[in-house]
Amino acid sequence: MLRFALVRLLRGIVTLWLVVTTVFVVLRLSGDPAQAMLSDEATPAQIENFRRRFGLDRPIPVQYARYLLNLTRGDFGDSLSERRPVTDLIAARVGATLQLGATAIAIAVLCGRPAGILAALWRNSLWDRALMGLAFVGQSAPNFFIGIVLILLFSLQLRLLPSSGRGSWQHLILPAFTLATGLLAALARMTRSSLLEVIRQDYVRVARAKGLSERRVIWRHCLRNAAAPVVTIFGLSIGGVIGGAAIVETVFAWPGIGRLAVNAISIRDYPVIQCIVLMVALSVVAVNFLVDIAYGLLDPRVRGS
Amino acid sequence: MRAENTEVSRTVRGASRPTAGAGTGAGRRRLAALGGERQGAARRRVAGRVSPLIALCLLVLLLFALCAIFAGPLAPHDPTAQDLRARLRPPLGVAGGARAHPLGTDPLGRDILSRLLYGARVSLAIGFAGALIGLAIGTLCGLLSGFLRGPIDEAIMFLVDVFLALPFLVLALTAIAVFGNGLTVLILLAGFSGWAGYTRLARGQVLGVRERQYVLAARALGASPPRLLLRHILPNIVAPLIVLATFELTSVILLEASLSFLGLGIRPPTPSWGSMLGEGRTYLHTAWWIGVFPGLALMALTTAISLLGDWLRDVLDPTLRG
Amino acid sequence: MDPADELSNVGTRVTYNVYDTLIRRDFLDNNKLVPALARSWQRQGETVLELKLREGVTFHNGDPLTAADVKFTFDRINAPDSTLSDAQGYFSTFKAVEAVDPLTVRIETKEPDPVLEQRLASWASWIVPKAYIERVGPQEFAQKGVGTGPYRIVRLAAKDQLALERFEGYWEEQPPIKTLTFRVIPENAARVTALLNNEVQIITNIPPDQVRTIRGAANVEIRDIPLANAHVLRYNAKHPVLKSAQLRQALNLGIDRKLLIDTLWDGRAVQMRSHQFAEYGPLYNPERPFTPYDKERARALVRESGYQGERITYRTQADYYTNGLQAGEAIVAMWKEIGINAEILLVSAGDREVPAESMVANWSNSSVLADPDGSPWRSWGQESGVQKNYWSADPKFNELGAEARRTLDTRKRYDHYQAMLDIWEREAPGTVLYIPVENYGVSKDVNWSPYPFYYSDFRAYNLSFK
Repeated sequence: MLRFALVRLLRGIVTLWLVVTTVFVVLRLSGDPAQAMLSDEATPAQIENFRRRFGLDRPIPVQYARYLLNLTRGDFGDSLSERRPVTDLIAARVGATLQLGATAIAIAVLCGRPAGILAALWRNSLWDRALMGLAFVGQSAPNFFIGIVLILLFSLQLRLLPSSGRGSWQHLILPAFTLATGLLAALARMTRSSLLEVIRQDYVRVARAKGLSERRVIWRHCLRNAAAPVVTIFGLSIGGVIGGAAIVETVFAWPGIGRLAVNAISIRDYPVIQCIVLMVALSVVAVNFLVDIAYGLLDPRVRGS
Repeated sequence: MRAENTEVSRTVRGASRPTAGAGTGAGRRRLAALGGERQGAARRRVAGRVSPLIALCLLVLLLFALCAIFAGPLAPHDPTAQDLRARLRPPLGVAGGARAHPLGTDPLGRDILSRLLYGARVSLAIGFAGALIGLAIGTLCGLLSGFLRGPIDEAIMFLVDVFLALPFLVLALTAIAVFGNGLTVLILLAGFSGWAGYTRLARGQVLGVRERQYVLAARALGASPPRLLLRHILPNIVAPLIVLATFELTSVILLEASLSFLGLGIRPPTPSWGSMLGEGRTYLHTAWWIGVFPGLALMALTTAISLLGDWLRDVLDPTLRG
Repeated sequence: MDPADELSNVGTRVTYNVYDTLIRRDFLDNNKLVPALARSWQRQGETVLELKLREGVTFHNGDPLTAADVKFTFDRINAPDSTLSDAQGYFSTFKAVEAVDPLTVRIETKEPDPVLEQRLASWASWIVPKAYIERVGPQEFAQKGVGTGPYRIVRLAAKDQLALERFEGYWEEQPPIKTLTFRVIPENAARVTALLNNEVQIITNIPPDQVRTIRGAANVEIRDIPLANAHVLRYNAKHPVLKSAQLRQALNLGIDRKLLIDTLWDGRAVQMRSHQFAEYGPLYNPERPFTPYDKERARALVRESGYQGERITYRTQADYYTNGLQAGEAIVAMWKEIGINAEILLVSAGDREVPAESMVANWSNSSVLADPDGSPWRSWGQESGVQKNYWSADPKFNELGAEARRTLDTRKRYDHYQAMLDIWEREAPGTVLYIPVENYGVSKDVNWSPYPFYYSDFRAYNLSFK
């Protein structure tokens, strides 16, 4: 088991190394950050100063080696635009994104599953059609559009909720719901169809023949399967949440790292982009590692592979 | 019963995604387990009937394809021709609307209908080309991975892991920053967005098929590996991949719209539905037609493709033939 | 929040409330120069200005304001190894700043400087605390700035949500609010909704087409103001394709500025008489014709120039200047009509312009001094980035400009600037489009006036409630 864990750990580390390297190479392809950061009127001496300050005057391989070395010491570099450690910038915002993302996933699970169950229970009813219709809309409209429509509806017309920014729990509702739509719709559709399959299966027929109501069978099935996917979905949604957050945080002026990423890319603030990508990768790898270990502990066969 | 059949919506995407991030040995086992479940259930499904809803979806898709192909003769105006004096004209049927511009004009006085027709080209091109590129890369990698096993398998699945650990939108934005926002770049990005999903699915399918009787028989008869792959394995795994492609199509089209929102979509003045929607969003209050028409088109397209994908899944499930 | 580093539209909005200048340009009273940190000032000969500082002014950290701080402010910017590159251009006429006694400063210029007082009331001239910066270093100062203004920066926060708190020790009247929060709400729908919902009281940057949304509302109104700024185009006259002055003149003649103003700006942007701002006062020529539009003449010039239909790119960001992209697309279409093969090159904020490849780019020139020395000279003159990279100006242009800025004779300066504009139009290294209008949405119960710069002034004299 220890060996299994070590192999997995090593794999994770190599994955991270590849991620870091890919991003480093792609970013360096796009040109000299000193030119991008300084104004037209900067003198050559000022550009030189800037390069020296951020270690950009060295050859690329040296920059790369130093970057890796610094990473192992927990030093992610300084933001080129704000001239302070990127970890400070990200630390100030990561909470907002985590809050938004966790709420969105919670909404997706808490609404998506029941919606799917209800649709399956009342299949072909008006409710089923309405719920699944909504699910399709949720999956087929771009997030930014949903967000803006929600602002116009709930903030402007109905005056129920604040339009933007972070503050009370009310501020959280619209952006979290917008971010949740895609996942919510997918979950609802998945739940509905997997339940319908169960209904058609033999043992259900048996159960039904024995006089158990369909509803009871479905509820039992759901309860049994409800917990596992939630964990998996949470792990997998991290990358998607950051991507979605880039859009949703821009629409709702939510001060998280999604917006930070979008801004950093538009002004070519490399250390910030690198750090965000690395953090997302780290979370994904860590979650996978833990899930693997958990599976390994539970199921001895897995260790063999 | 029929409606139920067509609306069954346990999507391939839904089934493949939960295992998507866990490309490790355990993850693959989880995938295999899910695959088994699916096969058992699918066998009992009645397939092949075309409901009115599916007919409608096909019609929508056909209509959009025709729009894209015949945009030239159909469009009343040049989609990039401006008329500043006729800007922000409402559509026909609204006070101030005129027959010259049935769906109104945009902030530069360009004809929305014409832009919509030409925009279908870009949106469909990005969607279809992107999905096909992803399908091609993913299928190839998956075939090699599942067929050859060993170090190549390890290497490919490892790359899949790396890719899935990256936040794709952030990467896409960076790539556009570096390479510009031409149509080719967007299509390539769209292609790359889904390759890992196809690879995973293809590999799982190959693993399921490779030990089947007919493959073993062909191998015993001395069929070469390429022949085995192309003649005996590929045809038996292609169906679920095509189904996955329909779902990727939707997400690729939405990706283009998201990029447009961030100002990094297709380069102006070329119209795409995503960029029109991106521009129109500011005008939802003052000139709704700029955003609403492309938005409706976009949603009709993606919904039709999703429904068709669900339906295809039921019809094409290879276990029905196996 | 270093006031000499944050010179952008966004930066000055905040720094104007945290820092003070020696002299204040009174935007509410015809741009008159009034005392601020300097109680009085007096010219001593042609090249020396002596200022008496106000007594009892303290910085937010409690340090008293002295002449040493004033000297430090300008020395810091003009130091050879200064990183404050944007600020340097504002004070290039300075020879030395001297602290005569704790409350007396003497500024000496290399040549007579007719607009020295204007400079001290303008951009980058905000006074910073010497002792504090020397103690914490410029980087910490950039994070947590300390000034003498009516509001102080409370905590180090993300740039997109910045809260300022009233500084109880302010030397002038206290403003009526305790905290002042700046929020970045990039999405237009969210921004307008936030105002209509009273989540915020003032919003800025409302696109002209969206003004109507606010006009109808009961609790808010639009307050608009033409900026002391011109949207311009800059051509790369050194580029092989754009080498011909005839071609560049043709580009200028091919733009229907009036149409852009009437349509994209709903008629509210202002046409310009060449590169002149009315606020120049006696240096403004109200007789100079509007920059002309003549399609036929433009076509002829294109033919004469030997232009072969090469692709000409027009560089713009998607949403930096109001109507920047839309105007660009419209101008590209107008140029097509005179036979120019132009196209939009869409870039983002960090895309560095490569001078050798750049062709046409949109830009804006702020009239930072209410004098031609602010613009066009600062933007197009000898030390400008334009002349460094894109335009080898007629030497006469630079001679006239250099002389005009060391002459105290208004008549002579007027003649020189008019002659310079003739050269600028003939050589056509660029053109003016119009003076844009900035739309603010404001709660009706807030008495507050916008300024023609992006400065937002929330001092007591410009903020009260009904």
